[in-house]
Amino acid sequence: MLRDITIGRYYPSGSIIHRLDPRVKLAAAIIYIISLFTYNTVPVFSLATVYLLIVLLLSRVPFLYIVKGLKPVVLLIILTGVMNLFFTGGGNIVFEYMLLKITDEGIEKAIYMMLRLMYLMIGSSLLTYTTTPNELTDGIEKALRPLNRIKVPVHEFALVMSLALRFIPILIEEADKIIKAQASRGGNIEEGSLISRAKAMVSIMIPLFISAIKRASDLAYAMDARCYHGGSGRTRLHPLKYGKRDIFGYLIMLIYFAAIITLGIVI
Amino acid sequence: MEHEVRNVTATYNVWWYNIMIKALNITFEYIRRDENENVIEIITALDGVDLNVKKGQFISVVGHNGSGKSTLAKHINALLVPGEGTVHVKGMDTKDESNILDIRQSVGMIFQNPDNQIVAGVVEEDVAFGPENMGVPSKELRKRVDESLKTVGMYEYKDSSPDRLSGGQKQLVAIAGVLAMKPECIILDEATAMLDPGGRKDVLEAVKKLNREENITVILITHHMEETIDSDIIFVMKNGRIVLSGTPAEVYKKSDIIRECGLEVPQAVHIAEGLRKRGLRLPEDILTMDELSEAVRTAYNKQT
Repeated sequence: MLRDITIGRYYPSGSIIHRLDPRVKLAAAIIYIISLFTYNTVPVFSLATVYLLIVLLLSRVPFLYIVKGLKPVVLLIILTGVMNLFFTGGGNIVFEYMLLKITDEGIEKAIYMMLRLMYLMIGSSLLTYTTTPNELTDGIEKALRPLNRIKVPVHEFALVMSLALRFIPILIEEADKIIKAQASRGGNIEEGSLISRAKAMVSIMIPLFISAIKRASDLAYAMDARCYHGGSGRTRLHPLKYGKRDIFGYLIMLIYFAAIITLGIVI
Repeated sequence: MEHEVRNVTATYNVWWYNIMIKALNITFEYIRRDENENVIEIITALDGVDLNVKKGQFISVVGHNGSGKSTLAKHINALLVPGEGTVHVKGMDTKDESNILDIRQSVGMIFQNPDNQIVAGVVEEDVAFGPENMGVPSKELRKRVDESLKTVGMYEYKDSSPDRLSGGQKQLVAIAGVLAMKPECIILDEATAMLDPGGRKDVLEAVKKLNREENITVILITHHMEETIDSDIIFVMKNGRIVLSGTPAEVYKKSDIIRECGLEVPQAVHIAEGLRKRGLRLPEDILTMDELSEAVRTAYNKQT
């Protein structure tokens, strides 16, 4: 069950999106997320949908893979939808039963909110599907380099992030194993009252933490053994350099954002 | 004056010319303390260990869990420094901080858990991690990564994610990552312990090939006696001490000491020993099953 989580996993397909500079993709993801929160209108969301679909097609990441990645947040999305549906005041009442009121504005808001969360998830996971953790951190490191002057440990920060991303699938697998091991001895985290489930969770978290600490210590040794000594003097297998397609990427991004703003204001 | 200095370096180089690792009387203790910094327990992991390894040798270090073999391995890579005694790698003292990067470049290390030593999310980026840290320029990096992946036969996987590989394949990637640093010595710290038989065979074969063809010194740390058959010298460890050392034939002869250390001699040696006890005349240097079956056939033909 936990194995299905695909967030933070790289999907190699060698598409044009994969070959873009990570800084472009980072900026694109951020701009896309911002654009989702600007206007609640049909044209704006249609454009956002089309834009996302085009990028998705270009990236050649299978659609099923993306849908699978949404699984863990389905509950959150539904919950947000329900909340918005019932607790939005104003507008015409469409349905009323006892204290529950559903207004047309509520329906609209709920749909937008759910779409927004879904697109946000898809947009940001597209970033990790098409960018290896190393590229991503390279991009962050390079984009944030000016902060080095005010003594922000940019390289260390970037490295910690890339390692965390790399270990997500491993720890998920481990949690899966522990859950099964507990289940085989009668442990159960899927049934019972909330309190007993929370208690059962502890017996999963503790071994997981212990193993994570052990892994961290192993990894530190392995990195030391391979001459790691901080960010100074490090070279790169794929040094970041902007090419023509990256400038093109920035351009498309700007056009998209301008179009969103215009659509939002005009219509 | 200048002449004299050059002379000194020359003798220094000759002295270390053939010696990869020289450990003298090393002692290392793990100290456990409580919250008030009082010592609760002292575990002596290494207790006066001497080790000499020549360039190009294939060395095995065997021992039961907690015998100190992994601690010894970490000393050779300067991941740990001895409490007492000295370790020299190619003449460089591991206690001297300024030598550390040179030592780690010359001595690569493969660890037990394949997942915990892979740093990057793509095979080729992981292989590049070591030389990247050394500051190798990008063009040369590309060449080294491709070459080392080809050497271990993992080139076709260079773009995939390590999560998709088997344990044995992950260890091969780790070996490629060490090879890309152009080391002279590789230590395998129980690198085969978590692998299935197929993966174990692949990793051992890759390492043996490197030893044979590239003249890379190999130090194999293991608790599987079967893996040590082809080594030049075997060191058997118990409680932080080396209790037995020599060529495989010499070491396997002393099967009682090996059993005392909680280890087993290779199957062929074990069977040959049993047959000898029951009166069959077999030569003393039987190590593999093939040699055993050949010897038994000869002995049988002589009897009839």
